[in-house]
Amino acid sequence: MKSATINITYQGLSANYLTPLPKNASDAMIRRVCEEAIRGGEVPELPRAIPANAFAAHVVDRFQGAKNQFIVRPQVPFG
Amino acid sequence: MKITICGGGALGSHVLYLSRSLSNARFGVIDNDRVETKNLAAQWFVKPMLGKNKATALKLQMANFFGCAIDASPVRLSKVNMQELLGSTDLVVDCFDNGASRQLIQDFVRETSTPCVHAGLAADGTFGAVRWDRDFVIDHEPVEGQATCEGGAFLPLIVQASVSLVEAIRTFQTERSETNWNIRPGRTEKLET
Repeated sequence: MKSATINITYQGLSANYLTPLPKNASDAMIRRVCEEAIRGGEVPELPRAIPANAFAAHVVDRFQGAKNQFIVRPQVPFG
Repeated sequence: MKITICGGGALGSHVLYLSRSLSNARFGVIDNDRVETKNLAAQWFVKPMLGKNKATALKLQMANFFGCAIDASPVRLSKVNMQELLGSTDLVVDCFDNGASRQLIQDFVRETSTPCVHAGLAADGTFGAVRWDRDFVIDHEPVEGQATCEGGAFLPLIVQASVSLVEAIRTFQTERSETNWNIRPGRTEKLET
């Protein structure tokens, strides 16, 4: 399986997490991977003590470029 | 190049102010809202503009402060006037503050293949994003009518996001490249996509 970079932003902090993940992974799967990685201490830049479903309201951005990259970010409805 | 800014609020007003020196650009702004006292803390409006339409107020400020002429459309963007307002635009800049209006823009630019860059802010002021349309996901406001980054505390992030958006416009104008950005308080990141 190809390695993917997930850029995770949570409460004003941000970090990259590298993990094997298919390009067509579902949003729910990506959110779950993020939550487990952070809680497991694999993303040291972010606090481990996050609540269950911490990323339920986050958006998963996908890009059409060649890179296997996802961005998990808060919603940005305002302008 | 004709550049139309949709929404003259926190992001739109600052983007207009910061882009005024871009060469070969003619700006237009669309907004049907009025300047309220609460807007003065985080949007680029001076006190005498209170009560005026935001697009009209921005036109006046750009003319009075910098001698710049812009087109002001003090109306609500809708399916009915979309072609008239955006039909001759070379670049649409989406700074609206609601999902329904963003959806109207996205439908139009995809149908007409008009270049479009979107920008948005999180309600708690911890994050902002600049995305070109092909990579943009519309986020709808969680509760209609809730506070929208209006306090002065959000001004630094608003300006950061506005600067990134202006940079995205500039690189599109000069190099035809589409750059996406993540903005966090004190840190701006150009995405390698």
